[in-house]
Amino acid sequence: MHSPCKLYWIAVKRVLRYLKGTIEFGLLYTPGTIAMHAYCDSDWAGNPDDRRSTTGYGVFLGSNLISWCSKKQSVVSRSSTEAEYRSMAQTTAELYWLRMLLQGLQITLSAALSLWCDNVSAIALASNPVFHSRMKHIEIDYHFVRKKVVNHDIQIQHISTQDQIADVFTKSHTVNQFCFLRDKLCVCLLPHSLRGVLEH
Amino acid sequence: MGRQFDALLANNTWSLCPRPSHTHVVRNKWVYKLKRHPDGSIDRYKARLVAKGFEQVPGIDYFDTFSPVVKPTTIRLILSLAVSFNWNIRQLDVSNAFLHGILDEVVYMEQPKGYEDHTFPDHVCYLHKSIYGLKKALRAWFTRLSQQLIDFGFSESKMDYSLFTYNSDTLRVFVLVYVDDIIITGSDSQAVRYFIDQLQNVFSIKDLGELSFFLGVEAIRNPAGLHLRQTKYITDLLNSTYMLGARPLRCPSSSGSKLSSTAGELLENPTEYRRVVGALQYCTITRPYISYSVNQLC
Repeated sequence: MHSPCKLYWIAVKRVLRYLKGTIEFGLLYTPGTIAMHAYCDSDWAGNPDDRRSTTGYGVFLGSNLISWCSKKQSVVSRSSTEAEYRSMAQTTAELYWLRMLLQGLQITLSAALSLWCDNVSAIALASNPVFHSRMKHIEIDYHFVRKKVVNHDIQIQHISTQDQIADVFTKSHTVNQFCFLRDKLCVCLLPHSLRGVLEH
Repeated sequence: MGRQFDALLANNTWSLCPRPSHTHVVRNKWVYKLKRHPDGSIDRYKARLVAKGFEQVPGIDYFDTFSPVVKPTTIRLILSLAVSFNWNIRQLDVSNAFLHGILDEVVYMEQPKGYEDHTFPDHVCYLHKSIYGLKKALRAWFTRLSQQLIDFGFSESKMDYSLFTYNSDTLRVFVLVYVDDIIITGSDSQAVRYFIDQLQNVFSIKDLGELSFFLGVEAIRNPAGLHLRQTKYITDLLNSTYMLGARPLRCPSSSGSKLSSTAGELLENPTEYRRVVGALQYCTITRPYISYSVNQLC
C-alpha cells in the first residue's frame, strides 16, 4: 500500500470493471429463522511476500449474510491444518460476539451455533483432545475452540470444498465458481418479478 | 449566516465574558457551502460557524475524544432481524447535531466575525454547548444523545455502544446511531412513532420515513425482503476513475495470479491508488464476495 506498483493498478481496474457490470447488485435480506451458522476457510501461506495465510469466513443469520471477513492472519502457520484452525478460532470469536449481541437484544437463537469447515484434520483437532505434535505451539486457539466444542456450545461440521461458501474470501476463482458462490451469498439484482410491485 | 447565528443564540451555545488571562482562546471561521438539489439547481446557501479545533491542546483543552460508531455488522444484524420480524425500519436525521452536545470542559472562543457584540467587543465566548470543529464535538453530541435515550428507558448494548434497545414484555425497539443518522425499528410502529416524537421534542430531528439511504447504502423494501446496494456510490466511483465506459468483466480477480509487493515498476500517483482502494473497501459493505480481491490490493 505504501509503494504500490503498476500491476496493482491493473488489479484495481479489474475490480472496477467487474463492478461496472454489476452496478445494481446488492445483498438481499429475506425473512427466515433466527438461527446462526457460519462457514470458515483459509488458504495456506498464500501471500508470496511473507507466507502468511488468509482467513475467510461468512456468518449467516437465517438465510442472510450479516458478517464476513477476508483477512491475512497475524502469524505464519506451519501447516494448512494450523491455518484452518486459526480461522476456525476467529470465526468462533465472531459467532460468540454476535450471539452476545443478540442476547443483549433478548433474542434467543432457535438452534445451536453451527460452523462448517472443509478441513477434516482441523475439525478433528477441535473435537478431540488428541495430542498432535505439529499443534503444540498454538495453545491459546486450541483451548478456546476446544472448550466451546466440548461444552456443545458450537457444532463443527464438515462440508465439501465445492460447497464451501467461505472459499470466496480466501482465493480467486473461475467465473463459474465465482458466480455460484455469489448466488450462495444471496448477492443479486432486485428480483425482476417484484419490480412491478414496487412501482404500484 | 444570520439563521445559523440565531440558531446558536437560541440554543444558548455560549455566554460572553471578559477575556481570560491565562487560557487559550480558540479562533473560529465561517464556512460556506452551496447546497444543491439532486438535479443540480441551487437549494440554499449554507453558512456554518466552525471553531479551529486544531488549536486545542490535548490534556489542557480536551481529554478523551473517542466516540463509538456503529459497526456495519451490527447494522446488518438489526436489518436482518427487522426483515425476519417484518418490522418497519425508519430513518431520522438530526439537524445541527454537534450543536446539541454539552461540553464538560471549559472552552473559550473568539466572537464570530461580523456578529461581534456592540457593547462588549473585547469579550470572548464561554462555550456551554459544543460547536463544529472542536475536538470533542462528536463525543459531546454522542454523550448527550445516549443520555437522552437512556432517560427514555433505553439501554445501551454492551457489545456495540451505538446500539440502544428498549425491551418490555410486549414491546421491543432498537435504535442505531451513526453520528447524526439514526435508524429506529421496533415491534410496534405506534411505539416507534412515540419515541420519534419524544426525540423531536428535545432535538431538531427530521423524520425521513422508511429507511431508503443510509451511509451511502440504498435500501429497497419489497415483499421478497430488503435489498441493500450501493448503486450511486459505485457509479460515482466509476465516474471519478473514468471507468464508466469500460468493458465489464465477469470476475473481479484473475484466478491463479498472486500480487507481490516487490515486483514491478512503481506507480506515479500512489495517492489516487489509495483513494480508489479505500472506496473499494467501502463497496464491500454490500459486496462481500469482492472482499478477497480488494484485500489483495492493500
